[in-house]
Amino acid sequence: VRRVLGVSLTGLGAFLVGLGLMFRLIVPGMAIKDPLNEHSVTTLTGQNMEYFSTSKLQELTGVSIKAINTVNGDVASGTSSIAVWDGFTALNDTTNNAPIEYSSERLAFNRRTGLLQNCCGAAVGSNSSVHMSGIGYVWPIGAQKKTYEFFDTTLLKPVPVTYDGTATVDGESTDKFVENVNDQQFGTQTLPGSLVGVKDAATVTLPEFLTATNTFYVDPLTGAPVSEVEKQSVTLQDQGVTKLVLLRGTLSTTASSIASAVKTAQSDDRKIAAVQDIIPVVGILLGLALIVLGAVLIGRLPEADEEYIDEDAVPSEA
Amino acid sequence: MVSRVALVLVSVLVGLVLAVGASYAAVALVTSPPTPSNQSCCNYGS
Repeated sequence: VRRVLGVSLTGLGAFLVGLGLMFRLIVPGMAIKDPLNEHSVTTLTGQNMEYFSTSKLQELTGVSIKAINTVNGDVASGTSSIAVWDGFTALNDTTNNAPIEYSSERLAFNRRTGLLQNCCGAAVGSNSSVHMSGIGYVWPIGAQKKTYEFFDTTLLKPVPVTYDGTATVDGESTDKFVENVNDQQFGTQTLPGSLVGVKDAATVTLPEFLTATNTFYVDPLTGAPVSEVEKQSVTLQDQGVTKLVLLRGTLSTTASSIASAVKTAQSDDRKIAAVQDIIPVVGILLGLALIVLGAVLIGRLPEADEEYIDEDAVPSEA
Repeated sequence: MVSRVALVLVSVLVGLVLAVGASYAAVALVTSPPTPSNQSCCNYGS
């Protein structure tokens, strides 16, 4: 009985040690990934904002704006290493109850590093020829306190997002990253000359500029942004002079969207901690204890058992 | 004495092999492709 018990305990101990090592070293890389079947709705709001109404053909000021961003994972297009998420953002003037604009993007990215991939129908709006690089929807799992390249879907190019310390958001410790864009042209707009004070031209084409300070609060363990503050100014300019403000103001994630994102992040954090910390520590410690116990039991087997075990032993002459 | 050491080593080896197998099985279980979420669409009213 002692022999069976000793062998069993040793084997179980080795099993637990092996399990602990696997969960510490191998399993996280294979099991901890961004989901294929993502579904999230995030709302940002801003007060005292300014935008150009295409229906009223005039700049409106002092309005409240709500942005609703919906992200859905395309499970069928994803793989074990790549996730494909579709995002749609609706911008509404809640003061005048009027839509402002809609935008969409389809981003494919590595499920561990968050790095964008040029595959799987990735596109910004209807533009599927844009070359994407850097991170997009998410930071890497286990985000570092460093500058990342973030793909800006307005500029259609990567922009550095600088690590700017930590911040507590709704009780969750987050890493703060800031994207600064200073008066960068990203397109042109053709519009009636009368709208920008050029009365002798039926239409004029002016360059479109973006100035932005976007702040992302990221859960470092999952790499998921739980809150955003987007201070943006989109203008049409003529030789450095602003002719028309298309959108100006600050949009911030609402408290309810933050609470939802933090709740999801905390739940994922607990799962990650269980996989890469708790299971390995408990498994290795308990396993080592069982190996020692089993080895001691086997080592103290009576002589009769020893002879039974050792088939090559020469029987003593009685 | 050698047989006792061998017994311990075999037990450890079997335990480790089973642990590796169990780990891969666990990974396969949790990373099996999910079914698409039942997404509500297009409720973008203000």
